[in-house]
This record gives sequence, structure tokens and C-alpha cells, in this order.
Amino acid sequence: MTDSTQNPETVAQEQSAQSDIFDSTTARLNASLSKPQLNEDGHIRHFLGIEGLSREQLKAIIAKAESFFDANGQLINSPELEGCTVMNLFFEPSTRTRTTFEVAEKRLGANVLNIDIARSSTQKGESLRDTLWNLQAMTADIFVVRHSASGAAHFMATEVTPEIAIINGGDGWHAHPTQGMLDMLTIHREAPRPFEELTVAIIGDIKHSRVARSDIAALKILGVKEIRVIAPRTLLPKGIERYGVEVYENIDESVVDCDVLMGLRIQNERIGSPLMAASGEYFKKYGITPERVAKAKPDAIVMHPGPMNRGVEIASSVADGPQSVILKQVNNGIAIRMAVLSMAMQGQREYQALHGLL
Amino acid sequence: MLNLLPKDFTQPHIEPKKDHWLLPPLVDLCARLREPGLQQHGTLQSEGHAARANGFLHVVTPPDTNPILENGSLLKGLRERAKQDGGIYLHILGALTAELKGERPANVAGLKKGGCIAVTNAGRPFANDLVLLRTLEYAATFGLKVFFYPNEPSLSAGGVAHEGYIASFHGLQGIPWLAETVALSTQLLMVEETGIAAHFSQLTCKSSIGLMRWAKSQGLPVTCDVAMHQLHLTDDNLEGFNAQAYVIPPLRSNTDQKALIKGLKDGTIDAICSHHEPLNDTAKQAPFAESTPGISNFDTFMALACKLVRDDVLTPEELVEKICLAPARIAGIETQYKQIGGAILVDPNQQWQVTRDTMLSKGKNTPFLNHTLQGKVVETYFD
Repeated sequence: MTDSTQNPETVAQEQSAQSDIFDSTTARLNASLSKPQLNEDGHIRHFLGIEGLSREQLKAIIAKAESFFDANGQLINSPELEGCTVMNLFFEPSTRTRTTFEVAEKRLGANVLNIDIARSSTQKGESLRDTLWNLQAMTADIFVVRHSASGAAHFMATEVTPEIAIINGGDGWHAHPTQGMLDMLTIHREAPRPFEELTVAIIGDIKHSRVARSDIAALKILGVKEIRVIAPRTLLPKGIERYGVEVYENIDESVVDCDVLMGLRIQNERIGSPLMAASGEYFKKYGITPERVAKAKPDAIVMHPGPMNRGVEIASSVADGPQSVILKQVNNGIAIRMAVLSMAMQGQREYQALHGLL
Repeated sequence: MLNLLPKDFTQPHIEPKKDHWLLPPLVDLCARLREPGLQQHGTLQSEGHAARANGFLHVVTPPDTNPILENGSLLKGLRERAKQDGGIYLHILGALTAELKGERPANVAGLKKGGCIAVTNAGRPFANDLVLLRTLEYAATFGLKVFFYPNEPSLSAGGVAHEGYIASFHGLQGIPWLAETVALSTQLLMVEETGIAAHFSQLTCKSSIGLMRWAKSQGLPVTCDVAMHQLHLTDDNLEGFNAQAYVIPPLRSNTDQKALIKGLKDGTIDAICSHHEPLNDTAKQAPFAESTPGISNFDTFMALACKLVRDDVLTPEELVEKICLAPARIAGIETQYKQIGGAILVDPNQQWQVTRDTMLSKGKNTPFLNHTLQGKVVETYFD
């Protein structure tokens, strides 16, 4: 295991910042999960999860992402990864995340390789470690990884290829930190008020959602006024009362006076499983409809991480309506991924310089 | 020196050592030695030696090896090899159902003839409750005891950790208490109906202790044990996706651990087993849920036992009951146990570091690796 010993002062500061926001168990879990992703200066050298980062660190990511927009709000190219090789390792299918990562990598001038893992060596029984070591030997600098097992990105960063910047593109039900940060960038740019004054409603399958976990962590660190989660009991994780959120089972009560409504995707395999009745009932009880949006604040924004099931978790008229910022989320996703890729590469270079690895 | 040998044991001729304990040999109610079929993780020789040096002269092992232990004629050879290569007395649980598939009885009469001490389905599911009922009736016909590792598969499917905040936080799929208690309830009712003697191994939850208390108060012929690590670790130890703490049944909550300790003190829990499951390094070198569950427990067992005494959970006398005498009675090997005799000398204060080198088991898979523990078997007096 790589020893990522940190400046004790930095650790102490981060832990005390965390314990103001989270209960003591959560603060401890956050710190231990976050430790491997930071270098000695507290800069990210992997991006594994939002848990454990400070408000300043999240704001630095948002600021970096905003620097990739020009005065007209158009994305710019910035060749910060020229000469670097980024490998996109998607052990699970993805369209949006993978494509926006690829766009971000190309805008940074990196050499991009998409490795189709589903059709490659892991199917032949090669272990994950052997696959990664082989790819490392092909001179990769950054791995962007999506994997169905929670903790896969942590495993790679701590036990397999610690000298390669690992960017978590989604691990199991655990975390989807670039989605969490692009949601924060979107709120920062589109929401009517600053984070401290916002009431945010997260509606849908919280239990199986890595997006919800990353969003909740980020919103708490950024200090929003209130986070409400709305779902039937079958779609709430055990211990939800310890997440520091308000739990609602009735959506009509919960959306009142909200500034941000975030829908979550209901995966097709959940519909008709013991977790929920038919999709029609779900839409009736938990769908984001124009009537429900009308109960939120008049300038509230509506978000969804995609891909959407129109008519299941969100009405088409809302998804395409004036309060929807769903397509802006996609665009912001490119800027956030550019920011995280660039910052992690920088943090990894600092780490390697300090340890004589360059 | 505290002499804890039962009166009918032959006393070894040794110089009394200050602050040491003299115990009868340990009897383990559940350890997997990985032979036959899984020698990459351990062998009768490697695990036998590890057991013996750590005080276990008698080891009970379940039949889920490869091939499955469902043929009486296999057992004798296995016992002989365990004695020859590993220096331990192996006591074998035969398969309750053919190929452990939970569909029809295995040749349990033949297994009994081959010397199995009891039968079990080794935690594998039964096709339905009727199969469970009939196979128990069949085994009871031949006077065999049954071992259960209660688990309702439809409730635990896909789960890798105790269903609670720690699992939710890490995005790991949970195993609810109900997976254990629903199965345990059914099995207790089947015991009541069939009258078969039953032992329940590796209980983990508070409600299970309540159910066992009820069963014992009804006079059912039941006993139960807990794995040593459950008394010292909780789901908190999964922190940071620690695959070394991945074990099935899973490490439970603090509340459960307190209930287990209470059950141990008041006698509801009869014994403590090792639930030793050695694994090679590769087995844990994967993301948490894709790694192999199991903890290598022989080497840390006595240190953790000593901690129970230091923490005033058990007196030294009660400890001997839970890790030597009660397991021998439950395994039905009391006469043999006394005849073979032997003794172990324990230094309850000796501090030592758990390292790959100090561990004798071939499996170095333990969350205690690199921890300093207190208490060790320093000498064995075996035949």
C-alpha cells in the first residue's frame, strides 16, 4: 500500500472542518476514504470521492472548471495535458460520462485511449490488477475508471497503480464524484441564490445511487441550508437518518419552497421488482410534474443526471421546460472533467517530484 | 501459574510459570483447512501445524470441500492425513444433502459409519422447507446431530456487509439481520418438530440470541457458538473498503456485539469457534465485493481470548468452558478428548506483533495484520 503521509496540520484542519459538518463517525469515514486521493499539500492526485474534501477544495475545482469558459460562456481548449496519455477504462457501459470525459481529455490536448474492457482481457480471466499493470506498462498517466464494484477506484489508487492518477467515473453504488461536482457547478452557475441559502430536494432512488451519495456529500460540504430526500422506503439506504438530511415520503410536501429539484434515474430493472409497484404509480407518487415544480420557489431549477426515463421520474414538459438545466449539466460536465483531470495530473506530478519518481 | 486443567486430565510434569495459564487443548467447532480441493489457500499440513501450535488439538471441519465430504469412505483417510501431516485430530461434519444441493439426503448412514461427528449443509440453501424437514427426519433416524449456519439466501443474496450505515456509506449491498433470524426461526421450529439435536454456529445478531434463549427455555436439544472475531470487530472495521474485514456471516453492529457478549456471559452462547478461513493473497486483492470473504483466525485466537478475560467478559475458568470443554461436548468427542489429554501453556500478557512471519497459517488474511496483540500459546504438551 502506498504511504500517502500528509502534513499533520492539513489533516487536522480538514478533520475539524469535517466534524463541523458531519457526525463523528461520518467525519472519520470521510477522512479515511479521502486520504489516499490527496498529496502532501492537500491537492488531489486522484479523484476518488467528494467525501473528506474541504469547502475550499470544492470551490477550487469549481473555479478551475469556470476558467474553461470564455466570456461568451463557450468552452475553450487548454492544452494542459499535452503529452499525457489518458486511458478510459469503462468496466460498465456508459454513454454520457464516457463521451464527456473523452471530450474533456481532447480539449486538454491529451492522448486518449478508450479501452473496451467488456470485450478485452478481463473476459479471459485476467485479474483486474494484471489488466491495470499491463496498461500502466503502456505508459498511461491517467486512468478514468467506471466499475460496478463499490470501492474499485479506491482499490486501484491504493493497491494497484498509485502512481497513475485515478479518476473515479462511478463505482457501484458508492460515488460518482465528477457528476457530483458538475451538479455543484451547475447549481453555482444557475441557481438563483448562493449555496448557503438553498433548499435542495433529491427525489428518487437514493439507495442504489452513487450520484445521490456524491451530491449529498458535496451539498453538505458547500453548506446548503437544507437537503431533503424523497423516496419510498424501499429506495432509501439504511442509516439515512445519519446522512444529515431531511427524509420525506410525500413529494408534494417536500418540494414546497425548494430552490433546486434533483431527479434521479430509476433503473429499469427496479421497476416491477419488489422495490416498487408499476412505473405509473411511481410517477403518480414521486414524478417531477409541472404541478410539483409550481410548488417550489418560482425561480427554482430542475436537474437530472441522465439518462432520463420521461414519464417515470420526470414529466417531459418539465425536462424540456424553462426551469430545466439538464442540458447545461451535460455541458458543465465537460468543464468539471477538464478541471479534475488537470488538477489530479498536477497533484500527481507534485507527489512524484517529492518522492523522486519523476 | 493458574492451573485450569480438569481434574480427570493427566497433569504434565512442568515447572510452574508465574502469571501463566495451563489449559486443556482447544477444540474448534468450525475451521476450514482447505483440503481437499483448495490447497492454494491452505493444506492439512500448513493449517494443522498452525492449529496445533496455537493450541488447537481438535478441529471440527465442514464438508464444503472439493470433493464434498458426502462419502463415508473418504473420511478415514482425511482424518489420518490430518493427524500425520498436521498433527491434529480432525472431526468431520458430513454432508446433510447430496452434493450439498439441498434437494435430497446424502448417504448419511454411510457417513456415520465413516465416523462423521454430525451432518450439515454447510450454509448452503435448501430447495424448500419440506426438503429441510425430511432431511432432518432422515438424519435423526440415524441418531446424527445437525450443525446449522443460519442464512436465508433470498434475504442475503448479493450482500457483502451488515446492512447498516457503514455499508450504505460505502455503497456496499447489505445483509440484513433477518437473513439470519428468519432461517434460525425456521430451523428451531424444525428441531422442535423432529427432535433432532442441533448446533447453531457463528450467530451474529442480537435477535438470534433472543431466539436461542427461547429455544433453550423450551428445553430444545440445541447449542450455539459465536466466532471469536465477532466479539472483537464490528462493521466499523470495513472503513475504507477494508477487504480483510470481509467475512460471511458479516461483522455486525456494536449493538449486536454487546448482545453476543451478554449471551456469552449468561450461557446462552455455549462456545466460541475460530471460523478460520485461510486465503491466499490474491483472494483479497480485488475491490471489496469482488474479493473472497474469510479471515485467517488460528494465529490470533488465543490473544483475542485473553482479551475477553482482561475485559472482564469471562473468567479464565469460563474461558476454558467456552473454548475447550463445551466444544468437546457439542462435537460429541468428550471421551476421546479426555483419553488423548494434553495441555497448553498460555502467557496472557505476552505482547506480540501479528505479521506475515509470526503467522503460522498459510493464509495471512486478517484485519489484525501488523497489530500488536497480547496473549499467546507459549508451549503445548501434546502426545
